[in-house]
Amino acid sequence: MTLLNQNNLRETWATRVGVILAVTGSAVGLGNFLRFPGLAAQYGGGTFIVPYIVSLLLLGIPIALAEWGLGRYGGTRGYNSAPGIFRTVRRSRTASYMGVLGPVLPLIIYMYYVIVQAWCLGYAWMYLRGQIKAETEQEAGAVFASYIGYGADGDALRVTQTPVLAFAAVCFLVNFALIYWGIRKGIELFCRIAMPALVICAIIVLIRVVTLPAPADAPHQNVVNGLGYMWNPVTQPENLAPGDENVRPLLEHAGASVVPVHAEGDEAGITLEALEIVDRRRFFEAVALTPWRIEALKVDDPQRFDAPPRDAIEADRDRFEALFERDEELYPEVFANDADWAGHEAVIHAARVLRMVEPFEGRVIFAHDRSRIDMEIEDDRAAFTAPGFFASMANPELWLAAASQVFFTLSVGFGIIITYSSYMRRRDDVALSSVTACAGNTFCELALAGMIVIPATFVLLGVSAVANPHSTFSLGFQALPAVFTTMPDEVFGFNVREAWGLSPGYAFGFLFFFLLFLAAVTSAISMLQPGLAFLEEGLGLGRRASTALLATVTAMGAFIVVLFSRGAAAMDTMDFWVGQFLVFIMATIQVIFFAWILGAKRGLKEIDEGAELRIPRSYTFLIKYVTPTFLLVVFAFWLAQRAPGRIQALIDLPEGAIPVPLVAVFLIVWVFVLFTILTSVALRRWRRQESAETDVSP
Amino acid sequence: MTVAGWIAMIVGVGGATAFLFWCVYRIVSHPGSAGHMHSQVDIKPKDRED
Repeated sequence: MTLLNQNNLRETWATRVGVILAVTGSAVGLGNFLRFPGLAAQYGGGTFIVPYIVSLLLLGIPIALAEWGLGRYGGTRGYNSAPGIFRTVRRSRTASYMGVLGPVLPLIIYMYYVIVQAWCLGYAWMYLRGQIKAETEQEAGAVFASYIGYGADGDALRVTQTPVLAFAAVCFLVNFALIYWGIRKGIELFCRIAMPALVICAIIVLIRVVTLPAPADAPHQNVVNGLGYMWNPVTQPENLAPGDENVRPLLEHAGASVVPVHAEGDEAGITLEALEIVDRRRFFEAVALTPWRIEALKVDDPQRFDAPPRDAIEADRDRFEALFERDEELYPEVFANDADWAGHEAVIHAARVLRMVEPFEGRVIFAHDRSRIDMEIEDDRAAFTAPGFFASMANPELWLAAASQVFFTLSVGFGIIITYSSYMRRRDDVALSSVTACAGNTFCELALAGMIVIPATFVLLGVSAVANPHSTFSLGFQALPAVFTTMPDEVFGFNVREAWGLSPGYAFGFLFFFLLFLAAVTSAISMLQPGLAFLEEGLGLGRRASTALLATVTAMGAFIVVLFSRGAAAMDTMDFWVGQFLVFIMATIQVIFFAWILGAKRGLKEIDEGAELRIPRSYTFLIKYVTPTFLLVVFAFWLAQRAPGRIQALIDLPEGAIPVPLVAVFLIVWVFVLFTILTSVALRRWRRQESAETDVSP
Repeated sequence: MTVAGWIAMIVGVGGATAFLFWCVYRIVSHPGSAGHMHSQVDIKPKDRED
């Protein structure tokens, strides 16, 4: 082979590897490592996986292809924003208004995404300074809660060593500087280097997680059971926890109602589930059948417990005492008030008191080891089994969440891809590019994040931490530091700490969170581009004015997210109503435009232009009938079953407190109205341009 | 972890890995493909000032 041929071959391979890294790397981000585990945990782990995979196959990949095709179709006709691109498909006012969500959704998502990005940067900074220590659920929760101001609104604005607001400002500046100056080369290069580095880091973390030993005092808290939480299609008893949707029926059956409460004081920021027990005996029977850790026991009326179920408990009194030794040194406040608990010996004896939350008198938090208690209540056993597979699948909100996660992680369905693909040329490939991006994402989500975060949380922090994440994005911030803490100093006989004077856990923690922050930069810029494209082509604004307008709007929204940090309420509300609900609507609109208005066959022809992958002809049937039917059925069931509850939660204002969810929804509505008005202005401008072009043409 | 859990994990992780490798194989085995494939990060948006 000649030298010239060798050089050509090397260049070809370099191009291919570069493309593979860029396409798959662009997919990696916060959605994979933070949002996916959070949602999966919220919806029962394995129960979430089935709708997720179905959504990926029936919604994610088909809509990704449709959006890439639709975007390029509009782009070659002179438009780059969803309202403009929809206008190329159907020349009507309504079509453009249908596209308003295109620039709106990424913009609102950016408002809280940038805060999660700031959390990553803050964690990287704290690791660099050696400030993170998280070996238990309490420690992991406390670090995260105090950092993001989870305990009270305004806490995140406090001037501390690691102020979230300062990191958010840094992220804002970085993102807007990059988008203003249009720096693509650096990001592209970074994506080809840093993203594979993040994947390698994730693989190392994965190896650590699967080799984690179970805690000595909780052998059931092992990796296999942790993987079971993530993958078992039907929830198993060892994976149940208070607050879990599946546990509520058990508690209700046991005569207990579950009341979410926010603890103050030492437990600042930790959301607890208080169990109000009506029938104590039935409650203990439920406890005996479920292995969950009871986090809080609220006793409003002590008289109710004057007759403890001694027949059930006293017989095993010695065993209980041996199991749950009093630890007066650690929890003096509980036992100092023993007199107040007259008649509640069984509670104390049947449980090891973990901690007392001062502001809530009469509430004891304790853990109950189910495996050591054996009660004979065969008659009720059937009532305590977890819901079956089909019963779990009947929850439309589960499907909505799974579909939204697929959209979120693929950047599909909410106006990003449609804008980016509009800049592509006809001979550019959209088929293999979009499918490869989907594959990279799915791999990161299922094979890495899914195998790391939930099993690690289960083993290191307990099932309760998995089932009750602080927020949709919080699980990774609680689990990963706990994993990094367990990283050994000595690897293959080489002592890293002695050699480099640096704890591997801290070095790894810094590296991982910093790479996550960098990954978030590419996604954040992508979220700003649709808005930018719309303002430029719709209003004729220059880049400077468009960037300034976007910065103002998003800064206001992001400030609201930081300000209302209690319980991450503003962020979670925005993530539900925008990241799940509106993204679902926008995806449906795009499918209808692509398959029914542009036409599925014409759409497929568009995808086929320059394609490196021949899409099966059955795609037209899928995108025309299956995908929209799936979307509409889930949406109809959600409207019928869950929407009233969600709306009621917004209306039920807490007495004396700021109605944060309502504020968040007002913000969403305000941005939507603003962009609807701007769309009407854009429409007038586009019509003037079109009539001018008609006048000029012969 | 139940049998169904193991199956779900093997199918999920195995399927995702196989899907990714299949895409990589497609790119590698078609010499021209890399030349006109794109991702979000290497698409340069044009604006009015371009």
